[in-house]
Amino acid sequence: MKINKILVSTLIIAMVAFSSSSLADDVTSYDDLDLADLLSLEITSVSKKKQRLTEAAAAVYVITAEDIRRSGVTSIPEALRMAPGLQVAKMDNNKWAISSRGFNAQFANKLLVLMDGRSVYTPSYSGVYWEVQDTAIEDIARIEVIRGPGATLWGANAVNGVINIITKNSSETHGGLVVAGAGDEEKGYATLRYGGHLGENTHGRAYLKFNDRDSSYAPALNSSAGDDWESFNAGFRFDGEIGKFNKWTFQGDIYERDLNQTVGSLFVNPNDPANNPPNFASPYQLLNIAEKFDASGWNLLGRWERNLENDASFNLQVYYDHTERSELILDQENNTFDIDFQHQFIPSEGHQLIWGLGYRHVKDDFNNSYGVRLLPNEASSQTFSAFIQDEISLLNDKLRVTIGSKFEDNDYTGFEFQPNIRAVWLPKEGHTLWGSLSRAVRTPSRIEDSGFLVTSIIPQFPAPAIEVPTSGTSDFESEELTALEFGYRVQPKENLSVDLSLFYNEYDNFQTFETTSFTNAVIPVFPFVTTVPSQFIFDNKSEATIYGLELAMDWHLKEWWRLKANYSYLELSIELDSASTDTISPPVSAGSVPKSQLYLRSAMDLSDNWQLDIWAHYVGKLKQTSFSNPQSIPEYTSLNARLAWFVKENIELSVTGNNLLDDRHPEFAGERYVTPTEIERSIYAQIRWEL
Amino acid sequence: MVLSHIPAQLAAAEIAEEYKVKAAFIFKMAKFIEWPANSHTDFGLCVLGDDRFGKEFDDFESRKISSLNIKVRRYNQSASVDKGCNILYISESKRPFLSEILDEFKSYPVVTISDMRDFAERGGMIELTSGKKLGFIVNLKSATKAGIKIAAPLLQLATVIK
Repeated sequence: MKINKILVSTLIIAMVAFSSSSLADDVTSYDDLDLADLLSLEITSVSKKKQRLTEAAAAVYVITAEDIRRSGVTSIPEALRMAPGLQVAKMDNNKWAISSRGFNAQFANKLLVLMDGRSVYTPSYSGVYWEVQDTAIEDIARIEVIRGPGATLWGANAVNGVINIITKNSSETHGGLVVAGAGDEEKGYATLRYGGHLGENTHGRAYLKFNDRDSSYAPALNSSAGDDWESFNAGFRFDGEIGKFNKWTFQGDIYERDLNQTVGSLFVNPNDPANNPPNFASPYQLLNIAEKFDASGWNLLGRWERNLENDASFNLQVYYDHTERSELILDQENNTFDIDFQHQFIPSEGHQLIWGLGYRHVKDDFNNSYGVRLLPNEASSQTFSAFIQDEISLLNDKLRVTIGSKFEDNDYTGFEFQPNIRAVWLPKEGHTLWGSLSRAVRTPSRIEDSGFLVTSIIPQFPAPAIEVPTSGTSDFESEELTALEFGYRVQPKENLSVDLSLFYNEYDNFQTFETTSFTNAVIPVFPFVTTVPSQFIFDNKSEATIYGLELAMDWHLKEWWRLKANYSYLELSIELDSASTDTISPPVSAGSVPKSQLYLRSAMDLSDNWQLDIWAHYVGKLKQTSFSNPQSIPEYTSLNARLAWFVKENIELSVTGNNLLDDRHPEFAGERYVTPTEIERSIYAQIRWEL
Repeated sequence: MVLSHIPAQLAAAEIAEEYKVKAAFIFKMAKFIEWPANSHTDFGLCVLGDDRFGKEFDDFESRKISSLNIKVRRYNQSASVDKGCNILYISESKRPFLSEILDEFKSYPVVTISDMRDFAERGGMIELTSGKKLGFIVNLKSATKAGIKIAAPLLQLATVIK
């Protein structure tokens, strides 16, 4: 638990640093100046071309700090349930499957997730380990959820969506904050944060966060799923200005997770004499192993923004991210270095040009297990990228057309070209119509390129067992998306807004598992010699089509009462190439997403110091969510509520209840090694105290 | 696309220095403006569209202009704007609809202010300009048409369009 000591000492050092610095309030008042004086002041004008979300030519939804606070969530993945078009499902108490517009899976790979500009997906499988993504929830300024491709600006893997988690500038988090809570599933948690001035134009904060969470329920074991976990996080952020034109940010986090899981099934080497003769009930498989494992990491990020004359500016961002995770199934370590430069300017009246360059270097190191191997077990890869886009304003700014493309060169597939064209039209006040056509690619992950996964073992006693692997290959290509989107946002009244998005996505080169060789085997249940596949590879032999809509409504009914509702609908089909023999992946790709999802939320201010929030979400049936656990997940409705009382302006007491309608329900089944679990009702109480 | 790759610092709580200066300027300037007699019970300081002044304006609520208490009102849409506004700040976000908005308010005794480019030229009363320093352009014709009188000391500091 060395890392915990580091966390605590980091925080203490930071707190001492803040408290010893001057905390005098920064009162810049222009009150005493007369008109002529005001006109003689030198000022920096902030860029006027800030994109307004209601005028964006994309399906964007923003989860605000207020939404997060009033929902009582204690983690980032749970906050994402508020966004339309996203599918958020818990596989067990410490694993989430999250995707945008379909294709949810334990290893969902078409979503790009950024925390303050730092990409958090794991290069081994291009997906996100959500249980390690955390920060002080109270310091999150907003979460922007962009459904649909964002590849032109963000690059590969921003295929079905981008999630941008943005924390507050440290100039907005002065003072102390203590949050502590406890309940049945949330056994205990605490966040400490302290921030202040560190000089005239410099601000900073540091936080420390601890959560202790209980297990869910495993129906197969008829008991606790053994997936309780503890998490520690600490971090800091400094922001400052140099002169009138330069802004900088320096931030970092460090974390450790002590996780538990019940490994449902783990293959053992049939060629190892120790595993022979095999266990009759589960030959060459160990079942229900209670495993305790760790995941940890740290990151540092620096950003510099310089404002130039005539509304031009440039940004430079550099980060380093280290993650490690050791499980029975695989030990992995990733080190990512990333540098991005971006410049925006107005080349001529009516144009806004942005271009940028990026470089990313990823070095990985795996400790292979029998069942999951990366060959070689150490590798590095690099990606060079460039993008350019022009926003053209027409008809007195009522029509804006954006054309751009990202160009990328990566070590797996070489050159990739990801263009888009978008248009937004504002026919009259309160009405926005937009449309876009774009291409995006999902580049291969390390596993698809050079993985070796034991998929099944067929015992042939007394002959040696047949080991059936699925292998990655350097021939695996990028999956390609062509997306057509339309949207309409309308604000019929001052207090009501409605946002509709329609999309049609076509994927080529979609991932399949192809059989590359067969062998004769005796199948236990069918004791004759038959031909069975003896090897699969990752291939690209199918096409997928998805279309659907998302509708979001925000109605500020009364000053004290606000209603929000989202509805998402989706149809999906997979078509295999005639040469494909894949029978495994189509049912999962098509079955892992609900056709309909509905989210309703009521936020009431009962009085000046009492708030009541009630929200419910419905998720349709999932036919099959995993290659190896072919169970279906019934539809479910979850009812949640939170009651908060402001004892004083700076002290809030709250009680939150989640999943109130049932004792427990399943949300998603992960792959073979994850024991299927059901998520239980939970209640917790919290105090939030601003000092 | 929408938001830049590198997250923009556009959190609402952070008010740019530029807008602190502009808020102070609008407050001081109001003392040099005379509205036609009306039945207002408070002084309506109104913002239409994106609000970049935030708390800076709210802090004025304890004060008075022409012996009326300042009351800050914010609107998303011009159709909702209360005729009780004395000053209407029109945000850059309303640029696509500026002609319609100015047309709607041209004969009401409300001082239209904005920092969008060409505002005064297009018929707005006071355009705030910011190069290295704050400046302002007054469209005297628009003001006169609405019955607004602007005192000479203010006009001396302004660029005036007649």
